[in-house]
Amino acid sequence: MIRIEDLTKRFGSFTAVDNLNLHVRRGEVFGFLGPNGAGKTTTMKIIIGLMRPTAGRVQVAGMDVGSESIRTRRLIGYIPDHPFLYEKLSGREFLLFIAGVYGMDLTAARRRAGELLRLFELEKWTNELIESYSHGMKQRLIMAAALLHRPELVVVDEPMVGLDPRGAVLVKTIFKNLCTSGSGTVFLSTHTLEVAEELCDRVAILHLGKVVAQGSMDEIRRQAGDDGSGRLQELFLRLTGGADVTRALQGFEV
Amino acid sequence: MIEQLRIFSLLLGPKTRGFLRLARTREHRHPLRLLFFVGLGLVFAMGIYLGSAWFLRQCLQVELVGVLIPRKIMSLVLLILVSILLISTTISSFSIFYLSDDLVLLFSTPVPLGPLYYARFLEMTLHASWMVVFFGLPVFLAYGAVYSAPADFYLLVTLLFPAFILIPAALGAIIAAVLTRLFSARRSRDLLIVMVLAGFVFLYLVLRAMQPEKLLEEESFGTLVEFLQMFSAPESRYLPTLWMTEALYPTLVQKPVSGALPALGVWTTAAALLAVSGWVGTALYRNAYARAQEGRLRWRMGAGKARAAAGGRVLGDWLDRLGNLLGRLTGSLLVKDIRVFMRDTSQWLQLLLLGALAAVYVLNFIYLKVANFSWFTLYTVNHVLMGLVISGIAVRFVFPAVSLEGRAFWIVRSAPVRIRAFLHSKLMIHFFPLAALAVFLSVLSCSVIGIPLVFVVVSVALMLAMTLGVCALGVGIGALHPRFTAENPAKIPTGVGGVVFMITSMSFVIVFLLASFYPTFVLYTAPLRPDNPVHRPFWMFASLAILILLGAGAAWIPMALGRRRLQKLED
Repeated sequence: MIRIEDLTKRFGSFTAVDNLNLHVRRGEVFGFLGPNGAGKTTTMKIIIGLMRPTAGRVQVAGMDVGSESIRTRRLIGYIPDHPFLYEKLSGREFLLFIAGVYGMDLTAARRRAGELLRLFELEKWTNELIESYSHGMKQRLIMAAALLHRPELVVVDEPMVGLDPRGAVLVKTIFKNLCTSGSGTVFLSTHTLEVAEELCDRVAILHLGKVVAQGSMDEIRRQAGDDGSGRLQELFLRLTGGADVTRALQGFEV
Repeated sequence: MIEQLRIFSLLLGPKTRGFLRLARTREHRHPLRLLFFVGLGLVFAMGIYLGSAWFLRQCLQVELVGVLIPRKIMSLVLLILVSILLISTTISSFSIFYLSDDLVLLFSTPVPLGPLYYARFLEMTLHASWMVVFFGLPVFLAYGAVYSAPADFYLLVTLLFPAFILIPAALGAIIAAVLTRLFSARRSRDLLIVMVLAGFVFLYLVLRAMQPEKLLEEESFGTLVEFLQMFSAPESRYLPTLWMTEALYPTLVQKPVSGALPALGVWTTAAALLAVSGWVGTALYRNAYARAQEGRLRWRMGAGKARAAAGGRVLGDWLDRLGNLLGRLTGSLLVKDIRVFMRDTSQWLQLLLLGALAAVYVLNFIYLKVANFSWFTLYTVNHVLMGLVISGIAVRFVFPAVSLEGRAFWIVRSAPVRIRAFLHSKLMIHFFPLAALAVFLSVLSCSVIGIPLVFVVVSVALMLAMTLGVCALGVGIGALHPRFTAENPAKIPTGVGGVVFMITSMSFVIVFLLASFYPTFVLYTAPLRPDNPVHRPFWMFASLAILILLGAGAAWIPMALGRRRLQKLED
């Protein structure tokens, strides 16, 4: 579904993504892990077309995201980590606006919007302005908007930020169902390693713009030289310089 | 006390450092831009200084009443300044005392209320008064220059102005504290803005109807006395503006001793009000802030329920259907833009000003018609003025169109929407209402002037073409200089892009109308030369070519440049 080849992104002299190669298969939940500043969000924005690569290329469903951006965007539902929305619209109005920009039929859009608002438990807030929503409610609304046009690929940057446990379970189930039904693929970045362990078929660990490990959990463990008993958190810290954290904590009093 | 002062200066630290860092960054990154804005500000201040000096000299030349006028004018200027300061400090108080985001952090720390209140007070006073001081002081410098005032006058102005500013600032802070305690900060601020705008529009219409330009004509000085008498109310003994006048004016005419008592009055009043403001403010601050937090949520949620109850849903459905008729992208953007506009008080309130502007515009032509100008002269002037009015409106409504997408612009950028289509939608959305206004102004002013029908048709055609050009310039240059992070929509046109748009748009209007002059003139003189109306074919050809090229260029070039800029945008 996604093929990333030799992708590099530089901001001046800083290299955010360094010669990245990745392949996400159709129908899988793919986790993109890495510490802060590893280049996850930059990679995701390049996939969506919000940023252009310095070098390399990205394909979605066999189409180049640079030259066929409009066609690829039709297939994608994007959920960013910061829910910047049109605060003066109500939840329902926002979804109808999204339906408009995706070219959906108004009657079908109304029906689908109603279903999604119910699914994400925003029914009671349908006619309230978004500015009165909590962070978690805005996050749910963005998810509803991303699923409105039935995308083949959902790109999610930190899906659990701001969600309560009930919302988190709901979202995990939706993503799982989306992939198991064969209708979609989920590409998500997360810091919550339990989410990755529970949800992802395969993961890639990114550190300083480079992939340091990728594959299924078992494959990652093998790559990290683990005997199979270690938790993902330990592997993650080992691969991304976790020893520094231990050193920093030595001699520090809270 | 020393501890309180330490906390006070500590609280000012982040704002001061932030301001200095911003100024340094801007100076470093955009030295020319900074120079341009400082230069522009100084030009305006110089204009006010020269205009005031000219006016005062004109007044002093008038026999008998001439020497009385500057004193009255000084009192009137001070009254206007204090009124503006009272309004701006009250409005700023709502934002700075009760709605700032950093207050959540500060109220969760053990900072005493006194230093916090006075730190906010200082910030609010500087924020709300610097512009009034910058553009008000040149008037007093002009007084000094015209009267060849001694150094005492300038010293007194420097000493008295801080006290003069503190008086409305303290009152504004008290009003905001009481209103926020009783109602909510946001609601009170919006209500105040509505009242101020309505008052401003009313005052403007009244002043325009009085035709103050006639007051400088000698034969109308009877009217001037009446005019000044109308403002005799400000001469109340209890107004600090009168004390300021009584303190400053004697120094101007070399009688310094008589000004000492009023000067003392100004300072003691300022000090007393500052103390009262501190007392009232700190007593109410915590509860008023808590109320502002509750009010924010209650008001927003209540607005949704009230809308639904009052048939807002029906209206919303109707709007959705209208949007659907216009095509999905344009319709969706239109419906979204209308909703966002109508729900933002600071935005829709400007429609009031727009209505007043249209009324003043037509009123002006009634006065000009009385002045016996030929209809063709009025017709030509009318187009220049209408073009400038359309440019002025466009800088406020069309130029910010792209920037108003704000941080939510990622939604459009990640959707399957071409930037070209997005910009064209923005153009269409803004062109039609502005074109309707242009046609309305054109037809109404033409009928007031009494112009033949064929010229009315030409006028409407010219205005439509010109409005399209101005709108395309607005959307295109707005996309070329986007400000997606601007918190206040009113601030969007105040940057370099806004100035570039104003200059480009006004130049376009003037060149476009110059190019249209010859063909219109031929039409005007055609009945006088029925055998050969076009006696300079090259001029006619050149005029029409310029009109077509200019119109096409204005409609295409800025949109293409803006499109390229947005396509290269990296978030």
